[in-house]
Amino acid sequence: MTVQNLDTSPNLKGFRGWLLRPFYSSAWKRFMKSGYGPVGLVMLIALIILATAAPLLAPRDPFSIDGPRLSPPDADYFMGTDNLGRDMLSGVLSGARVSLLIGIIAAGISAAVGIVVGSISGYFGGWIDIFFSRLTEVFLITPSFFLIIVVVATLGSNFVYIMIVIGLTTWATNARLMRVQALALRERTFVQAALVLGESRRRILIRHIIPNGLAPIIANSTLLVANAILIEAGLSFLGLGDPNVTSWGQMVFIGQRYLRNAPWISFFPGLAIVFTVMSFYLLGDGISAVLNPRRQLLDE
Amino acid sequence: MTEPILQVKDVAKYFRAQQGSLSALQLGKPLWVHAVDGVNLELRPGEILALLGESGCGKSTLAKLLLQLERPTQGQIRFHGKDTSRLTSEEKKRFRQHVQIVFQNPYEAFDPRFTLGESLRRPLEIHGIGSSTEDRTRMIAEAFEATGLVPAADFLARYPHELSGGQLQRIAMIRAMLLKPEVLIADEPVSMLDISVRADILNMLLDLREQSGTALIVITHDIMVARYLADKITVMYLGRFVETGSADVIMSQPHHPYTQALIASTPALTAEERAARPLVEVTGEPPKPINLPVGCRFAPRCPFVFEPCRKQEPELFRLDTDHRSACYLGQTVEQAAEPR
Amino acid sequence: MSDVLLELKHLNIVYGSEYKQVTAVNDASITIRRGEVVGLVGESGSGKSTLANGILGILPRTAKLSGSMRFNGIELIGLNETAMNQQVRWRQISIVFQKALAALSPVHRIEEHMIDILRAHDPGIPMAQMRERMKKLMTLVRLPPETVRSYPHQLSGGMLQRVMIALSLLFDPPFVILDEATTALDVLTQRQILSEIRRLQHEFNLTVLMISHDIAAVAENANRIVVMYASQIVEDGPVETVIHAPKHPYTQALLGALPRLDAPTGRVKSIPGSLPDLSLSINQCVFAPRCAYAMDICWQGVPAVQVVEPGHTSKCVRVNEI
Repeated sequence: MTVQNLDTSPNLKGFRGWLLRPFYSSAWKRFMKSGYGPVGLVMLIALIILATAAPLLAPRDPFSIDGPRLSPPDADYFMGTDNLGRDMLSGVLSGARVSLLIGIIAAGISAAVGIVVGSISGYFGGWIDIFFSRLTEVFLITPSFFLIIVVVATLGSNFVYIMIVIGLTTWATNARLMRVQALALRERTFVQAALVLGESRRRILIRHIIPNGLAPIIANSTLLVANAILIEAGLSFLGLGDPNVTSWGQMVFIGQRYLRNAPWISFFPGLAIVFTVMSFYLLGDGISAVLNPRRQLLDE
Repeated sequence: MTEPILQVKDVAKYFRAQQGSLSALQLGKPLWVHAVDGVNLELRPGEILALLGESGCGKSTLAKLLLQLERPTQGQIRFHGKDTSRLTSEEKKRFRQHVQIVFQNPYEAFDPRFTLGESLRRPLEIHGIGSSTEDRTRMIAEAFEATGLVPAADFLARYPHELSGGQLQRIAMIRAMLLKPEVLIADEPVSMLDISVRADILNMLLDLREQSGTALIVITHDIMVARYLADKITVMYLGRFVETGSADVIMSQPHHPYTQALIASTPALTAEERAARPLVEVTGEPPKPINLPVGCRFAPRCPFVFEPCRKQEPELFRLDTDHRSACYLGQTVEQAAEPR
Repeated sequence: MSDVLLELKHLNIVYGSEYKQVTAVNDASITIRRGEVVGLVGESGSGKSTLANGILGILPRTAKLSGSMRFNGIELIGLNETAMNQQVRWRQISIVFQKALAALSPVHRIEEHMIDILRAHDPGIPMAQMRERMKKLMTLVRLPPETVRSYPHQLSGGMLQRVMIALSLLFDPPFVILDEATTALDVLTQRQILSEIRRLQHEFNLTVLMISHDIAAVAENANRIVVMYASQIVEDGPVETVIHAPKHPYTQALLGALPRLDAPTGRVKSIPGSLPDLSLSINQCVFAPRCAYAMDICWQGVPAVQVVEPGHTSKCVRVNEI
């Protein structure tokens, strides 16, 4: 194929250059071309802004029980009120912060641990693989929800603990996904080439195996974000959640009982969860495009 | 006679055979695949050796053993006299620099996430070649330009999926050559390329020996490639060497029936070439190298099979200086008794 | 009954979406007579497989064919799918693909494949007749009749290609296309399969279109060779003549790139440059950018087909100087 002239990026200097240069990198260009990535990014930025500005945007104190109970959405209460008379709109806005944090951090910890365990296990094989596989299996078999309950009941209901614990009990699926990827990647020509060219195994793991194997982890992590939010909700339902914060999950659970006569109680926070998951999913698509330059060609 | 760079002594590599789930439960002896079953080899500086054989003969496994991507089940591989499975990390690094490879599939030779410039700089960094990033980039660009990949800056910024097979294979060769290795192993270097671009790679290999004195081991199933490149040809079948000799002798006076069959089966372009080929017909298909029968492993398919063939596996008998064949045909008692 | 079996006249095959149109086959004209074995030679991007798939009508729906493609007098372009399936495909023209394992379903036995194909093109055929046919075909390709009971993965590469050949002969077609049929086999097996094909060709006076990138295999098995480059046919002539005295610079360069026994000294040469972009319209000789003989006139329009002698044509203006 004929190689055409590439666009040469503008020569950027100074502080403005330092700020703007990442946006001219080929990684950024691939991200922007991926179609869904920028949409996801915009959605996520919107969420983060709303979450941060919640105290300013919320019309009322989300905990105040002054309003009419089980009142449908109207001009006063845009998202209606719940069974205790709390304003749903304020609740959803305030819950954003907690739910986003739980989702991101729990999924992040889960992915990080899973990637490390899975990649080492798959790439090095042998006794290391046997040991880590058994460990992964233990975590896979144990119902994570019960494990979380035990830990939270012992350590306390601080939502920081909850986030970390969710992350540390859900990594097993990620580890399995990463292990499969590592096993396949280990045999690929460019990985063997790296070994022959003198690259150390450690660097091969970090430079070649993990980045090329991330794709299913990213996909799984977006699901995990939603999952984490719902796990927190379940904990709240059992009375183990952090009583000092509102979260979407809590609201969804509260609304379960009123699904027939006051569906808006579960609907709006549920919608918010869906929106969040969508934004991560689309963002994940964009990240895949950055990690795998070849994918562009396949999509065209 | 100079010292050999690489020596292979009685090397064998066995893998556990894949079994179905039911048979895996059997409490019998496990089945072993004899991928490489006792080979000996010496490679001297500046030599080009072709390892000729079809798929399943063990040539790729042997390449992996030479490169330390696999450990031999038996035997030893020596680099400058030292056992390669017992090198210090210093020695191992030197080994890595001096024993390089070009793989069969150029499309898979590079990490798709890095530009070619990045991929080529990395090995230079590892071995301390070049004084800075700019210096290394310059070296790479010069090598690109020397092989006709111009403008070099363009190619350096490209990703593997943007280039053709011929271009990628040239770049893979450059990547190995920049380390100035003593040995380059080329595993089917042109079999996945179009005919019109093969010549570039073949000639680059020859140039490498002419200009840098690099020794080459070329693994191929194509007789014409072996003949074009090599000084010596070694024919491999089911894990063993069945004939070795200079390229001229192997092509003009092949002794082992398998070698003859290989030459006879390669399509000839002209009637004259066809006339020069031996007339050997072989039946059947190559078996898997598991549970091999007693005796010569080519016996089941050999048109010249006779009694001794099924009794004991023939060694590589000496037919002449530099021509050996593992076949009982025409052996005298003296030849059979000679040391290898 | 006419001698001419397949006649392609100015065949064009264009693939495309709204963004890009690629001309995979450009102005192809070939006449194939009964009993001929024609070798179609070209590298990747030449369009040879597209041509074969076009004849059989198995191209994706986005492909547009224009020109004329007559088989035994029937115009194939525009022929409706039912007629194509019931009358032409497999009954008149069949194909042997390169990778049997990719063409066969791994969960069905060989006999199930055969029954499927038999029923697809002849719906009412009774079982007894089918079994008879299968047995006969296995004997024909020198496989034990029980082979039909096997699954594809139980058979070796050579046996599978024999099965593919048997499948292609299910309806005794007069015309068989071999699309790189032996490329994936090892050298010894390749020789066996090619000699089987030769034997069958003689026995049934089959007309064969043999597609291959291996010129030597074509030289040994075909009586005529058609050379394609970047969607166009550049040379067409008897195999011996073309190989000894090629009349197109591409053919010559291709032959010069092969290591040969009868040219022991000297190096082989690559063809410099790369394939043109087939999504752009071409108004010059398609090989000109890489041609050692290129002159001004080569850039000014597509060269006309020159007749070297009856039965041998070349698309080069300098045909007499090569």
